[in-house]
Amino acid sequence: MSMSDNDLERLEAQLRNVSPARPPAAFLQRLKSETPALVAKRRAHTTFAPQPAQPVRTAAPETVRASEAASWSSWVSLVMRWLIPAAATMVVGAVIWRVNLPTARAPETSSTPLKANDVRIDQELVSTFDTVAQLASGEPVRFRCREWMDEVVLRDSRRGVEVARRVPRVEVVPVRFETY
Amino acid sequence: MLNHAPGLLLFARQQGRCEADAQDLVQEAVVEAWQRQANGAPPPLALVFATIRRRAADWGRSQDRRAAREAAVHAETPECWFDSSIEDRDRSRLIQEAMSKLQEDYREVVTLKTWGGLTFAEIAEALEIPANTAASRYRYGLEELRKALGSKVLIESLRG
Repeated sequence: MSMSDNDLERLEAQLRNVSPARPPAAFLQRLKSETPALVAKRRAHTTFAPQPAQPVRTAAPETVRASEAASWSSWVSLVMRWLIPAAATMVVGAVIWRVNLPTARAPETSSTPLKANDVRIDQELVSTFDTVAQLASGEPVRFRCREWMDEVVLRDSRRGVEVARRVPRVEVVPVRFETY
Repeated sequence: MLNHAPGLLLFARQQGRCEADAQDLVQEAVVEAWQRQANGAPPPLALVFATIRRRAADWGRSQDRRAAREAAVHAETPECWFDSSIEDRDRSRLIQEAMSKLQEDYREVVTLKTWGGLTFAEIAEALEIPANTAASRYRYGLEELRKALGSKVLIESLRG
């Protein structure tokens, strides 16, 4: 059965009438002594320093030792909270890098120059003919024309690659009528 | 900040720690929350409560530390969550018993609202829950408290 608003308000009022227990004087003293130190530290250092401050201890020695242990514990937990994910990320990154390593190097190897262990140069005479022309002075001149097909074949047997290049070439040689 | 010390300490005590742990929690949470303030102003109360809660969870994971503190708990006086002056002693005891049996989700909200002085928006920020959830938990918490308390507290209140 749910409460009416009236009951709710009465219960709220009753609860508020009960005050939280008064903190021990030693604890209040610790808190009080810490607060001005914080303000002074903040004024001295405008940038945020995330390291935990060392509280001023006025409590019993057992409490002080416990607080130091708590500080150490919280510091370790803070470090571990970031260290473990960071280490895991680094391991995953290293694995991914290793997996992708051959793929990443593939273009690099393809761009390396061919190291040919067999080179063949060939010239093939395709045609030859003579032609006669006349100079401006009226003197006739004969030209001997030859059409060649030059071919270069490079073979890298280690990689099983063969590159062939064929280039046409025209050779024109003037010939005097006297020597002809 | 000292004015809020009773509420902060009450919240820390309810996180299931011993008295020494609760005091350390409050002090370190105040220090941490204060350091997080860029302008050096006192931190918002909701941030301090949130820091207490987070640190309590961190400490709870340290089982070794907790075990080492067990002996100290028994040596200390029984912790009282509420003011136990003579006239209110019974009522405080009843409320503490009822609160200690309350589901943790409800107890946190009821404590922050009633004795921490936070609004539902601030409670939502401190506990990282929606404000509507905080409001509904508060109402359910009060209903559970009323069931647990029965008419005892109401009668005491009417007498007062």
